[in-house]
Amino acid sequence: MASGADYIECHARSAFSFLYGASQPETMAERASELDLAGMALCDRNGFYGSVRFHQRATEHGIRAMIGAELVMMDGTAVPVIVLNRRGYRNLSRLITRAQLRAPKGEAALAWKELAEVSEDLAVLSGDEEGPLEVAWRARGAEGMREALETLRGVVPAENLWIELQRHCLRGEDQLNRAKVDLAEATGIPLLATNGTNFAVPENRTVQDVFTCLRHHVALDNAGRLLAPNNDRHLKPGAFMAARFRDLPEAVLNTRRLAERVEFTLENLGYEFPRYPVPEGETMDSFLEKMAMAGARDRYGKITRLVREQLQKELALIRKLGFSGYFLIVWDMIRYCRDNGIMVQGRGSAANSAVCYSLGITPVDPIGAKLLFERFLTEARQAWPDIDLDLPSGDQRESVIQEVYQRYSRRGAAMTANVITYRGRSAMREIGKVLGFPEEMLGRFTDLYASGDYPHTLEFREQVKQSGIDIESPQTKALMHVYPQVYGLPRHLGQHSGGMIICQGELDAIVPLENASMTERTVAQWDKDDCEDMGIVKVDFLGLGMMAVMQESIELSRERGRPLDLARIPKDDEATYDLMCAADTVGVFQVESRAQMSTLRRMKPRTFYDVVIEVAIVRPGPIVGDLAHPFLNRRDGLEEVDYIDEKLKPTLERTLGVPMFQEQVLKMAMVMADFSGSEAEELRRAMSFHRSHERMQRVEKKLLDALRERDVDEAKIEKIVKTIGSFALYGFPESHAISFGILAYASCYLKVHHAVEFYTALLNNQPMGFYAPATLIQDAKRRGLKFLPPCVVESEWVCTIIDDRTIRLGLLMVKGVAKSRVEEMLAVRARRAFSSLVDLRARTRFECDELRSLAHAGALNAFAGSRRKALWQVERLQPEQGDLFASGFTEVMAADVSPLREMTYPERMHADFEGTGVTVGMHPMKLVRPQLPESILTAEGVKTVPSGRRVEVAGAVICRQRPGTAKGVVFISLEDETGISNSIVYPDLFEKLRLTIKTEAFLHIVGTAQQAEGSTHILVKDVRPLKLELPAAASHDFH
Amino acid sequence: MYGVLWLPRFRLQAVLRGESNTWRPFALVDDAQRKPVVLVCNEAAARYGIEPGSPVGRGLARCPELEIRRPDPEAEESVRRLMLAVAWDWGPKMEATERNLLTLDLSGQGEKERAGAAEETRERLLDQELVSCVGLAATPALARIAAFAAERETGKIWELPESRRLEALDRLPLATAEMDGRLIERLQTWGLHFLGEFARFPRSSIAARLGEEGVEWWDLLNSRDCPPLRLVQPAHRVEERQELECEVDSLEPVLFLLRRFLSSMSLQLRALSRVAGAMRLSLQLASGEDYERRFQLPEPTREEEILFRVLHGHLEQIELRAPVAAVTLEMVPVDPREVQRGIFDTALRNPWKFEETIDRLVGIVGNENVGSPRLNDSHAADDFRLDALPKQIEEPEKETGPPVCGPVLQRWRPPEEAVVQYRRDGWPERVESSHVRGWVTGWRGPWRGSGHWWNRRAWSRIEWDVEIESGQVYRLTKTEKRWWVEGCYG
Repeated sequence: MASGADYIECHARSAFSFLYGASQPETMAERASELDLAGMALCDRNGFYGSVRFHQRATEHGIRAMIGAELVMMDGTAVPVIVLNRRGYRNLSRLITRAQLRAPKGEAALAWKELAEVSEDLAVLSGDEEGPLEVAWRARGAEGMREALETLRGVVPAENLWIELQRHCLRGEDQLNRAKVDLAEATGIPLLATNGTNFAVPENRTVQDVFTCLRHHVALDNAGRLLAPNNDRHLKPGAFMAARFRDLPEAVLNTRRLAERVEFTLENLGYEFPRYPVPEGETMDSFLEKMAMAGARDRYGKITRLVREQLQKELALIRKLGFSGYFLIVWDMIRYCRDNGIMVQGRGSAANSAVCYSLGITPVDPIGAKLLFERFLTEARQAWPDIDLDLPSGDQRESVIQEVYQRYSRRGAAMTANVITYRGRSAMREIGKVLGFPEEMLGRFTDLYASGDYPHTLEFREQVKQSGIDIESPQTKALMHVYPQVYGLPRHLGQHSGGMIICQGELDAIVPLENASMTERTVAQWDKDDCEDMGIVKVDFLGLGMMAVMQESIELSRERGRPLDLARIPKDDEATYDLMCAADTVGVFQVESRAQMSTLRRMKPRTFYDVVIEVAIVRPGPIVGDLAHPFLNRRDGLEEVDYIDEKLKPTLERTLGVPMFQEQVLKMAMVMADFSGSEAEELRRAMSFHRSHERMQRVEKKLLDALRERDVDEAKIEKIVKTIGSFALYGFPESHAISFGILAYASCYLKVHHAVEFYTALLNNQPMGFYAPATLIQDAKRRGLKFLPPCVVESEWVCTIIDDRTIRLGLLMVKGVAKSRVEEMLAVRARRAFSSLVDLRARTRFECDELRSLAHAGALNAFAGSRRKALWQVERLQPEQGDLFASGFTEVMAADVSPLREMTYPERMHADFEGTGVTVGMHPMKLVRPQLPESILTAEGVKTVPSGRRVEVAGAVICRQRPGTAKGVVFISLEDETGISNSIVYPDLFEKLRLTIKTEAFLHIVGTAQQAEGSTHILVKDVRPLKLELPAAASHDFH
Repeated sequence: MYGVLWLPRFRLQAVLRGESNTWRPFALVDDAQRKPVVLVCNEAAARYGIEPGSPVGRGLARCPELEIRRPDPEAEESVRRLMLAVAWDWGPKMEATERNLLTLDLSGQGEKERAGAAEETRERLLDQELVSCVGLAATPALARIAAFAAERETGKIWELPESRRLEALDRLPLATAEMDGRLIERLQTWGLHFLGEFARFPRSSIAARLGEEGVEWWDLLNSRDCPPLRLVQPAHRVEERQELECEVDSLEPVLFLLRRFLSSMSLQLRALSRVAGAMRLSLQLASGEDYERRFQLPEPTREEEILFRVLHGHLEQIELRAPVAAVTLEMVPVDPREVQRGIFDTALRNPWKFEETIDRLVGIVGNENVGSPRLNDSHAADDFRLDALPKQIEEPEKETGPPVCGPVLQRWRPPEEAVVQYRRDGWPERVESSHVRGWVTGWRGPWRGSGHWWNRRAWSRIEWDVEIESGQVYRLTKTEKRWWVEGCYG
C-alpha cells in the first residue's frame, strides 16, 4: 500500500503552457507546499517558460522541483517528459529550440525520431488525453493503443518509459485505465499515477474553461464538450492520490521511484559567460587591468593615489568574482560602437565604477562624484553586475544587437523575454468575448480605461456598471469571478526592449530559444528576472531617441563648421540654466514633461548637480515617499533641514537631509544599522524584488533588528524603514541620475546653442519624446526658427538646415510617400535637376497616390506654382487612364491651364496637417481665434490672470497625463498660437467627463487660475469639445 | 421622368419604428466591430455632433443620454416589403435599386399627378411611421440624387428640373451623389465641393484625370446616362417581426404591435392583389420558449379589423408562462379566386385535421414537449433539445473508438427523489425512494460533473451506480443537496 508521502505529482502544467494551464507556476509550487507534496514536475508545453519561477518558489518551500516539458509531436499528440540529468536538460533545451525556430510561433512540433535522439536522459510519460495512447484508444481501441505504445518503445528506452494513469471521476475512464493496466502487464512498462494538473485549486477551473474557449476561438455557450467535464484537474494531496489509486499502489510508488532518478535541478545549469580572447601571454584579469589603467590615464590625465587605490580595489574584486571577461566583452562592444560612429553611454549602477569609467563604458567619474562602488558590485553579490548601454534608437541600436548575434552565433545569444500578461483591457476583452458580451459593450468598457501604466481609479464593478453591463446578470457575475483570476496570468511572450543574454557554449542548451516577432532576432523563454536568478549575465542595449538626436546634432554641427564635443561643453552655461529655469524645455531629454517643467520653475537649477536632482526628483519614489516637496521646501528655506539622525549628515547633506538616491539609502543602512556594503545591497535588492514578499520581509526584519540592537529611536526607525522601502522600489541610483543629467543638460545646451541642428535632428528621429512634431515646430518658431515646407526640388528625405534660423522639412514628413522611391528620386535629381513635373514623372517611379500626396502637401509647388495647379497637372499625368479617353489627351500639357481655384489659407493648413501632420504656417488656433468668444484666453493670456479668477482657455490637446502618483488627478496640456497652458482635472470631474477628455482633439476648458512659483495652472471646472473645423496633430497621452 | 422613393436612415428607422420617443437622440451601432462606431444616428443625435463613423465612446461623451440600438435585419426586411407595397400603388414600373431605395418610371404621369402621387406615397409611409424622401428628375440617377437632396429640404420632395439642372446641382455637396470616398477626397483636394462644380468641368479634362469613374459621374450629372430599370414586384412573403426592447408581460402592448403589423401587412397584400388565407403567430418568450399558433382563416381576407379580432380573441384565452420578448406574424397570401375554388384541397389527405391534432397535442403536453429529441453538445446528463419533426429519419452517425458496453439505463422521467445514507468513507450505504428501498451491496463511482457555471443553467452533480440487495442496479445522482434515483439498468 502506498502512502501519501510516496506520491509526487509528475505531470503539471502552469499558465505558461499558454491557454492550457490556469495558474502561475509560483502558485502551483505554493499550493504543492500547502498540500505537503514532496515534489512536482512542471511540464509546460514546448518550453521551460515557467521553470525558473517554479524552481525558485518550490525551493523556498522545500518542494522538489523537477523540470520537464510537454512536447507536441508532429502527429498532434503531446508527450510529457521529465529531465533526469544535466545532459538531458541541455539536449531537451536544444531540441525545443530546434522545434521552435523552424516553426511559426505556437506551432512547434517534433518528429518521433527527434525524441529518440534525447530520450536516453529523459523520463517519458505516455501522456493524458492528448498523449499518443489515449489518442489511439479513442480512434482504434485497445489495439490502437498497443501500437502507439510500440511506437513509444521504439524511441524511448524501456527503463525511461512510463504508462500514465489518471483518474478524474469520469464515466468511461475505468475502461481506458483497465486497458492501460493490461498493456503495462503485457509489456512490463511501469504504470505512473498522475493528475495531469492544470491549475492549483478547484476554483481555477473557470479560468481553464475560458482559456479552452480562447484556444478554440469559441464562446462558452458554444464550447460544449470542449470544456472540462468537472474541476478535478487541480493539485491534490499525496494521501488523496494514494487513496484514489489504492487498487494500484505501484502506480503511486513509481512516482517516487521516478523522482529518485531525477538528478537535475536548475541549480546546476552549467551556465558560463563567454571568455574574452586576450593576446598571448595575457590572462583576462591582467588584460583588463592593463586596459583599465590605460583608460584611466586618458580619462584622468594623471592617476592619483585615490584613483589608483579605487581601481585596484575594484579590479581585485572583479578578479575575485571572475567577472573580468564580462567587463572586457562590454568594453569590446563599446569599442565596436565607437569604431562605427555609434554614440554609446553606459547607465545604471555601472557608473559607480571607476573601472567602467576608465574603460569608457560610462561617462561619470565616480571618484569625483563620490559615488558608492558597492551599489554596483559587492563581494557577496553572486549575480552578474548590471551594465546597461544607451544607444541611439533605430538602425544603429539594431546594428549593435546584430553584431552580438554575429559574434556569439544565433544560438549563442538571444533577447530576454518579456512576459505579456493579461491586464485590464486584454483580460476584459478576451473573457468578455468568451462569455458572449457584445463587442460594442466591451468597447465601452475598455474605453473607460486610460492608457499607460498608472493605477486605474475606476473600480472594476463601477466600470462594469458605467459600461452599461447588467451587474446582476449571471454572465456578469461569472465575469467578475474570472477576471481577477485571469489578471496577471501570462498571455504570450514578447521580447525585452534591449536585454540580451549570451553564453560561452550554446545558449540554447541553457534555455530554449524562439523566433522573435522581429526577423533576425531570437528570444529566450525566460525574462530578465529569470535570467538574473539563474546567474545568466544580461547586457541591456537600450535605445534612446535622444541619443540619436544628439548624435545627429553633433554631425550636423560638424558639417556646418560648428564642431561640438559633448564631453567638453561647459557645465556652467548660464543660457542653458536660464532655459531650464524658464521651463522652456519642450523637446529636451527627461526634463520636458509637464511635471518636470513645473518642478523646474521651483528648482531653478543653476549647477549641474541641480540638474541631477531635477532628473531624480520627478520620480514615483520621492513622491510615494512624500519627499519631493520637503527637498524643495528646504531648498527654499521654507522647512528646516532634518537628517533623521546626526550620523546621517555626511550622507544626506548634499540633498538637504532628504534621501534622493539609492546610494544614500545603502549608506543609511550601513551607517545606522552597521550593514556591510553587501548586506545593504542585498537589502535594496530584496526590497525591489517584487516577486518574493517573504524575502522582503526577511531583510526588513534584519534591518529593524539591527537598528533596535543599536538603540535607534523608534520614530527614527520608522522614518528610515519607510524611506528605504519607497526608495528601493523606485529611486534612481545617483550614478544613473548623473548619466541622465548629462543627457538632459546636453540636450538643453543644444537647444540653446545649436537650436537649428537640434530641432532638425528631433524632427528626423520621430517618433520620440513627449511632444508631437507639430508642437516641436511651434516651439521652435517661438525661438525664432523658420521652417520651409517639403519640396521635391529642395528637400532631402530628412529635414535639412538652410541657415542658422531656417530648416527645410524633409520628404519623410509627407505621409504616404515611400522612402525607397524618394531615395531613387534624390539620386536622379543629383545627376540632373528636374525641369518640370513631366520630367519628374518620367524619371522617377512615384506611384500616382504618392504624387498626389506630394502635390497636396505643397511639395510640387516649385513646378506648378501652387498646390491646386500641381494637383491638376499630376492627375493629368496618369497615363493608364488616358488610353480609354484619347480625346482627353489631345490637350497639350502647357495649354492645360488649371481651372481649379487656389487653396485658401485654412485649406492649406488642413492640407498641411493631413499631408504631413505639421504646418509651417500659423497655429490652427490662431486661425479660429476670431470665431471664439473673447472670454477664451490664449495660453500667454492665462499667465496674467490672478489666482482664483475664472478663466477659459481653448487649444489643441498635446498631452493628457494621469501619473500613477497623482491619486487620479489628470493633467491636460493645451497648445495654442502663443504657447502651452496646463490644466488640472480632479478625479471626480474626470470620471464624469472621461470620454470627452480622452477622445476630443481640441478642448475648451473652463476653470480657475492658479499662479504659484512661476507656474500657471487651471483648476478645471468644466471641459467641452471645441467644435470647430480644426486640423489636429497627435497628442501624447497618459505616460 | 423618374421618381426615387428613399428611406433615409433606413436601418435606424426600421429599428425605431413603433417607438414613441424618437425625438430623443438615437444611434445605431454595429456591435460586431472591435471598436464600435455609429452606423447611423437620428437628427437629435446629429445635433450633438455625432455622425456615422463616430466612435461610440465619443458619441456618449458628447451626448450622455444617447440611446444605442443595434441593427435588426428582420425589421429592415419588414420595412423593405412595406415600402415596395406602398410604392406599387404609385407606379408599377419599379426597380428595387437598393433595400431602402426604389426607382420608378413615371413616364405618362403629368406633373400635377406626379406631385400628388409622390405626396400621397410619403404620407402613407408616414402613417406607417416611416419618413421618406422623394426625388424627381429626368434620369434615374439624377432622381436618386434629388431624393438625397430632398432630405435637406423640409418638403421631403425635391424635383430637379432639367432646364435648371446645373444651378440645382450647384447647391448639392459632392457627398449627395454617393461618390466613392476616394474620389470625393480627390475632388475636394481640387477645391470642388458641389456637384454643379464638377458637372461644369470639360468632359475631356475629367476623362484625362479621373478616368472611367469620373466620366461616368460626369455623364450622370449631365443627364447622359439613363439605363433601363430592372423591374420588380412586391414580394410574396408577408411577414412582420419585432423584438421588443423591453419584455412585456401584458396583452396590451402585444395587441398594439399586432395592429401595426396588420396595417402594414394589409398594404402589402393589397399590393400583391392577394388576401390572407392563414396567419401564423409566434411569440418568443423571455424564458427562451416560443409560443406558436397558426390560424386557418375560414374566409380569406385582408381586412385589418377582421384579422385583428381573430388574433385578439385567441390571445385573450391563453396564459403565457413568461413575458414576451418578440412577436412574429406571418400571412399566407392566397389568390382570392383560387382560394374560393378549393380552400381545403391540398396534397395531404386532411392537413387541417393533422394541424388540429398537433394543436391539441401541444395543448396537452405543451409546445416544448413536441418534436424530435437531439442530444446537445454538453457534459450535462440528459441534456437534449427537441427539434422539429424531421421529414425523414436520418441514418445514425457511426461511432468510432472503443465500443461502449454495459447494461442500458432506463431513465426515469422525472427522476425520483431519494434518501441516501452513506458510510463514513463517503460511499452510499442505503437508498430509499418511492420505488427503491434497500441496502447497497455494490457500487461504482463517484463520477463528478459540473458546467455552465457562467449562466443560469449552472449545474453540478455526483453520480453513483449502486446495486441493492434485490440485485437491481440503479443510478443515483446528487445535485446540490438532494439525491435522486435517475433510472435503473437492464
